[in-house]
Amino acid sequence: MTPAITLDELLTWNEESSHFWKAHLDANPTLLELPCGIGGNANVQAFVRHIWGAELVWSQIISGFPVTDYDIWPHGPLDALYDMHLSAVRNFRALLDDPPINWDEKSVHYPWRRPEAPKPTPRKALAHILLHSQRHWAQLSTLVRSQGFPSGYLGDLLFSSGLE
Amino acid sequence: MTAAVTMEELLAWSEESSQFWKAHLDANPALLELPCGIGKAVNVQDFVRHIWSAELRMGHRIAGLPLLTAKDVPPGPLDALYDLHLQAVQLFRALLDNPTQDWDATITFEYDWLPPHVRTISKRKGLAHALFHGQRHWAQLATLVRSAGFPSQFNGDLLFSPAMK
Repeated sequence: MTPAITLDELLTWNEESSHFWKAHLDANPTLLELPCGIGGNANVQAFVRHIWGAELVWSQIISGFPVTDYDIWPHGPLDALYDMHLSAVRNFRALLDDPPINWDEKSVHYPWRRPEAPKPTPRKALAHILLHSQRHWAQLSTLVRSQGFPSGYLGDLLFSSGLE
Repeated sequence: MTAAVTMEELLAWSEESSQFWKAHLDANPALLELPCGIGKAVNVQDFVRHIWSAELRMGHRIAGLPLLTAKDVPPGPLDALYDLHLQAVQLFRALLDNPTQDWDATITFEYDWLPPHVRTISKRKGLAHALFHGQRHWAQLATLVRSAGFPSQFNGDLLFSPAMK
């Protein structure tokens, strides 16, 4: 059998990372004002908004739901941003619990897709957004440490309880 | 069917990222001297050494081969570091092509700084960890070089990878 990592396992890892950063930023709210620059975001709060807002939008795209426009994503406070993550997780879990979905059909259209870009499968789209967050959390960990505030974040999959 | 990402797909994505950075650093060798600080790496070259040597170490662990020691890992040049990655890929492919490979078998780390609950993991988790470890660090490297004034145009998201449909 081909070894693989399931999307359920990736989702668990994703949730662990979001839980960590929600708790860490709740405990250290001044970090939200640190200048950022990653992805054009002015500060950490805007960066976190990008991470969790992207999760929500991709969960809606894969589910075939209306997409929440970027302009009406909340800008804060952190609880409102975290709600986007929680909504996304609910959508992701519903997808993963939905037996009829064809995970390998190249069916996902996202509004900013270039005409020449192939439609990804739901499997790729979901893996993409779950790992998009992980890549950004790694960057955030470096950002806060470089500005003198190490987070103690252990973001590697090795530390996840999502798989043994 | 449980939806999943295969290790072959993750390995192909890993190769794409490593190929990008090898070419980018070959074309911009001054970047190798940029101060780093991530994972105690003093500069970018040291950071890349960490990424690629970690891949090979995990390959050796999964294969049950003797582990590299620090003196086995060259400090450079870039070609020598990239060779660590190429060796790791070769080893990962051989493991993935072996139908008798038991991916649920465990490996145990001897590091006492690791939390006890993660010192013993499946080989499947070990390989996935090694492949994601590189991706997380490449994302950090993209930020590092851009913040130093040298944007790389690295499109590291899985969405951009042809490794997965």
